[in-house]
Amino acid sequence: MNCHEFESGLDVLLTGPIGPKTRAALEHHAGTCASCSDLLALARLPNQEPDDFTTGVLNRTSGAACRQAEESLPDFAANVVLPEGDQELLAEHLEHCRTCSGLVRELERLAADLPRLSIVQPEISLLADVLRRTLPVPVRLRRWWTATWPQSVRRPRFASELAFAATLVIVVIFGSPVSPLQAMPERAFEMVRTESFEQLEHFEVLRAAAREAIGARLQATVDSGTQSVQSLAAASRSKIGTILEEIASWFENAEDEPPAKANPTTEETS
Amino acid sequence: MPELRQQESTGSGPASLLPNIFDYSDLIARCRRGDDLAWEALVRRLEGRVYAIALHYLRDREEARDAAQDIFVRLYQKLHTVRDDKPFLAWVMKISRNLCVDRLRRLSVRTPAHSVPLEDAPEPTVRLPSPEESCLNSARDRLVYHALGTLSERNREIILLKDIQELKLVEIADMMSAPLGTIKSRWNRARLELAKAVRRLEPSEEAAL
Repeated sequence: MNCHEFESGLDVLLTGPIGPKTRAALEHHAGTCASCSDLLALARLPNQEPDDFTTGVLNRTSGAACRQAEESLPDFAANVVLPEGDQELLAEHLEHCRTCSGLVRELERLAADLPRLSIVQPEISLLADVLRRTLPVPVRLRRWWTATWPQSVRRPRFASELAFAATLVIVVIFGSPVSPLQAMPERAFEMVRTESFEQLEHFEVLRAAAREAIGARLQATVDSGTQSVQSLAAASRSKIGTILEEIASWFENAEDEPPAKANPTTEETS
Repeated sequence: MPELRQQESTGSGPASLLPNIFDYSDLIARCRRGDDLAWEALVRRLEGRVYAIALHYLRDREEARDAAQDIFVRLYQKLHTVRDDKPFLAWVMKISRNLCVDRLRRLSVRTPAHSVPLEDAPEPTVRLPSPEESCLNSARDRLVYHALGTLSERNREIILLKDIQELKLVEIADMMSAPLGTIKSRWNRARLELAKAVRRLEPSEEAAL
């Protein structure tokens, strides 16, 4: 073995697996060659680099590798298989970098801690509020009615409030500009005054509309109103007829009387 | 103020004492037939989870409570649209997320849309737990909750859906209408940002390790 062959095999002698024959040949050559013996002694010196040596070199060359390492830390912490070689390089980096190794530990803790936050019980159960908002309307109304009606009736002011509400309803029904019933009384009297008596039958139409609009209770009121109007109309007609007959008879009598008595009659007429 | 309890994911708490003979599909089928008892049971089962989602999004107890109610009302109205071939919880999360995001927009209290560099964040100081954090039992949970609050809304949301509610990335991508690869890389960034935030808020924990 010559010196060149020794230098080629030096790496294997120091780090790698080596066969006994090769090891014996290399060590024999180092024992016979002073230069190669010194080289082997130097190579076997323990590492004496300072702690911040690599950091200093990296700062003056490529910069810290943490930024690149961070990209893979979440997968590394979750035991996701990284591309070939990345896993080993990252593991080596983590051996020396406290910041990144701390991040990996934190990521592992968070993976265990975060699912605990998935359920947080509210201070007061949401159930009552949710059920109140989601129950069917009839059920809600029945519950509300059962709970509030007895107390409302027992209040002293209930009678006056009820009277006020009823008055308000009547005013709204008959007094509102948009109410179909607003013109009903005026229309009835107008028909009696200006149209023939037979057209009062149109009142039946209004009565049907009223029945639909306000129901059977109001129908009784309308019926009585109809009877009153009809009787009033009949009375009016008979009275008007009587007056007309009296006027006609008066004119007939006036024509039959002698002209001498016409002057006083004219004065009376005027 | 009574101490709030946090139901563990292991199932401790009053709800777990009840016989668990119905799964979600049974309850939903009964709800569709108008079974009020089934709806009540469903609300009880989902209450903590829905409230947690609202709390993580809105980070305000009262707002979260109102939002959780709205979510349940929406669920009730849309129960007939649930498809049996779709995971029910993911559907619940989707509705919850949409309502919370809408509410956030209305409130205009959203966190910055961009990530705040951790180096620019203010130095941690001695602080008392917020009312929201008092819902959580352990100091560690409060710390994590507080750290979540320092994240951007986007990163917090991905942590909420993936790590807290344990949805699948595919479901989240579908929910957010984003490509799966985008969601995956966003999730990695969010986890790393959260880990940094926790270590920055509580450096003594690292020293104790």
